Amino acid sequence: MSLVIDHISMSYGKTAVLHDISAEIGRGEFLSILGHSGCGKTTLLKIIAGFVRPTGGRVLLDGALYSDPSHSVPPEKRDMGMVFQSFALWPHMTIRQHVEFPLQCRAKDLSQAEKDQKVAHALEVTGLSDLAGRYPDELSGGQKQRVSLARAIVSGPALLLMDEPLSALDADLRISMRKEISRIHRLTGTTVIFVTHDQGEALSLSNRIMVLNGGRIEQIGTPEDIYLHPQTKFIASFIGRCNFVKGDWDGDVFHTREGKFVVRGAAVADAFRRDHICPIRPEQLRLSGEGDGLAGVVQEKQYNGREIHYAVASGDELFTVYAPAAENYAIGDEVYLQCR
Amino acid sequence: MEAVLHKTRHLSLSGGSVLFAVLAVLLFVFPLIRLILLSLTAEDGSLSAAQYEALLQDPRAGAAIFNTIYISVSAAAISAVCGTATAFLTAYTNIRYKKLIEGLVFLPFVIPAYVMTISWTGLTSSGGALTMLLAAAGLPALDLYTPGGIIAMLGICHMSVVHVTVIHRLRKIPVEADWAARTSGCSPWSAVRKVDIPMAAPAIASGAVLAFLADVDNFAVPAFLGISSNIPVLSTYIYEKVISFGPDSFAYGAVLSVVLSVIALAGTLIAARLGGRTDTGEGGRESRDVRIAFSPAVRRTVELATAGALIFFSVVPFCYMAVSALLRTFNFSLDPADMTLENYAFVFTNDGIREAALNSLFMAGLGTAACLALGTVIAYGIVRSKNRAARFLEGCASMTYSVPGIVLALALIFYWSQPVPGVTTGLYGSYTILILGYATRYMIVQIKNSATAMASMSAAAEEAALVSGSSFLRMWVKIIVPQLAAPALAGSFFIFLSAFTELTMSSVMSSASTKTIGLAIFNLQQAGDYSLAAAVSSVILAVMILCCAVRWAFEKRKQ
Repeated sequence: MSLVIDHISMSYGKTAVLHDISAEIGRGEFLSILGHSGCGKTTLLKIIAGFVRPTGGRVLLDGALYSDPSHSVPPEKRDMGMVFQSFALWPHMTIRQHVEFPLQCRAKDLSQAEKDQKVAHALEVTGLSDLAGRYPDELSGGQKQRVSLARAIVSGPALLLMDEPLSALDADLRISMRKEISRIHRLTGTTVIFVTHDQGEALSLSNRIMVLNGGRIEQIGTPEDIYLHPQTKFIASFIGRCNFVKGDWDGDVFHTREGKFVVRGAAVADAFRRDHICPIRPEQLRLSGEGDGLAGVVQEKQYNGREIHYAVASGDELFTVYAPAAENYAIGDEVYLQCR
Repeated sequence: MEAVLHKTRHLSLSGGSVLFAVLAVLLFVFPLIRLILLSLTAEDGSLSAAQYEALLQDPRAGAAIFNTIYISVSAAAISAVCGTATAFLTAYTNIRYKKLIEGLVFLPFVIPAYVMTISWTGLTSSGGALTMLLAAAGLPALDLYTPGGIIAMLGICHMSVVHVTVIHRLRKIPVEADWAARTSGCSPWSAVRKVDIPMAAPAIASGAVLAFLADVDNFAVPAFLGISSNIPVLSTYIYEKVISFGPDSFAYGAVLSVVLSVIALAGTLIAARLGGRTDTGEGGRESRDVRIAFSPAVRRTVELATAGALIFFSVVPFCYMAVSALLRTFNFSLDPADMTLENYAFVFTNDGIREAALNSLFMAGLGTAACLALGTVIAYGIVRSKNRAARFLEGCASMTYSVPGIVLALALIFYWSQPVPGVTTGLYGSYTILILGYATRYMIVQIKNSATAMASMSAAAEEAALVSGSSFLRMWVKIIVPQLAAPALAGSFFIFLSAFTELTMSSVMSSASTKTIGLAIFNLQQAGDYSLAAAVSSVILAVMILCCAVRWAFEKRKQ
């Protein structure tokens, strides 16, 4: 295990921000910490980085104690690099000076040739070799974040912390930077802790996702696990869209009261069974003009190219359905909802 | 109908523009041009550079120029080091009592420099408490009547100028810039050294230049410490020339003034360049995160050392001054037998002092009222009418604020005693010229203050009043004045205190019958009456503290 987060809790005065957070992150793993603002994800990252001392629990890296309530290794002594949402570049230094900086502080016993080689490598990996002589105010947002990334990885740290690194960028750039981060992670093999509020980033980048809600771990697992087998209603509606169909469970079979809608769901979590609901993703629903299923009326329709998004009213409920573009219904049509 | 309305509005606007432009030129530009012309005029009225040639032959002028630059640069360096240190401690560390420390930094700036100087000369006089303490420790006495003494005094007085400039910049450096250095393996102190100080460097430099300008402008400190010990600087040399009434003394004073203005202008240009560069950081938000956390023991030591040093510099001397004004002799003692109330009695019974106090009250009051009225109208022109002539006037008024006070005083004397060649007004030596002087000097303060206040008011409220049929005058009385009164008066408060206690302008503009309170203290000090000067200064200080307390209580009640 590379990083161990052991029963971490944090409170400011009487306000508890984190409750009993535990996770073991393997060497080279990419873990996203995902949650709404105020869920405690940034506080957890600050504890891992050593800027905040926890009020309970421990943080260890490769067996060395980093943080507990009475003891905290200062950030500069931790084997890590960090990338910030605001880039945190230094306007008085060139790009090359940014990347050399951690080596001057950390790798004092390296020869100049070795340092130069590491700097050149970090610049090349991040595609900044041609910009090395520039100052931050001469760079675009995406280039700035690459500098921040190059600075964080140049000394080859065991741990790379990223605090919402894509949130300050434009939508298009966010998508292309995801690929960059993914590529650099594969190339360096560093353990990454990636804090974000964007579920798309978490799903596409991570080996595992830790979802925080109100300072507690709501669920931790692989992206597939989280998407396909949500453990709570919060997870199901936070990660992707989800319909909650009311009805009863009979063993592994779910059916609505009238018996019109039946799902075989062996893997659905107990939390849903207790609440007498069944989580159904919009793409798991199918519309048909006649036959079995829940009767409803198409309320809204959005053509999306690859598929059509429908809002279908059935009784008091409004269901979201993603149907292939070929299955075309008009607003006002009477349809029947079934599980695919 | 609409066209007619549009036309009258346009006409009245251009009428305002003409008025603003004429005022700008008559009140603010002509006096300065007049000064330059005078420096180039020979005795017979022809254009000549003879006075400048005389300057080159005059070794005392050379010494004054050298002293001005040397003393101001050294004092600015002291202000830069001390102001940066206090700004750093208040912005970045976890020390407590930050409000108190900032208050102590500002104290020597708010209190007139001559009061500060008198209090220090008391402490360091041959019978002063500090001298006795130093002697007991086997150390030599401090002699303030030296270049070093002037430098130290100016350095302390203008430390707050650097403090203000630097603290905002330091707070604007995002805390993430430090964190990025920490996670790169840098200790908190090296993060400050390698990241924060270089990022704040332009602000430190521009703060130092502002302190330099204040040092160049200062008259009181070199006058109190340098005249008797024959250390001329330009401001005191101009004063000496003007009061000597020699054949060419005014014209030569004009030449010296031009030289002093050139030095100040050079400083202003450097400050503008540096000021433009200060804005290169990310975001404008100020962060108050602790970047250097002292351990409890170190923190206590730092708090004690900082507050102790500041109290020693700017509170102890005032207390000492107030007490020593009770003494019969110059030797410090707390024995009641040595005490007397005679000096304080003098303050309240002497006709000269009372007259000077009333003069200051009257002239500062009228000057402030003039600033308040005209400054607010000009601010309206700038903010609401977007009047270009008003903007021009603002620029001219900031010019008369940034030239050294003694230079402006001289320029106004020449200009107002003879606005047009051949027409003599006899204003020199009157109350009017000093009131005009204060209004010219401080107008920009009121313009800026009223403009800021007006910019935060809604223009819609004024338009609504006009649309509802209110006359323009009625709209001012009912809508603008009530909203503007409190913030505009805050600016006037500053102007009044400055004008009431000022010495620089009145040192050359006052006549025997229009003496100000600052000048009265200066004359007492020059005559060697330390105890009387100390008594008057203590009373002024008490009045200022009272004014500030009243204002503070007033603002507190409003909240």
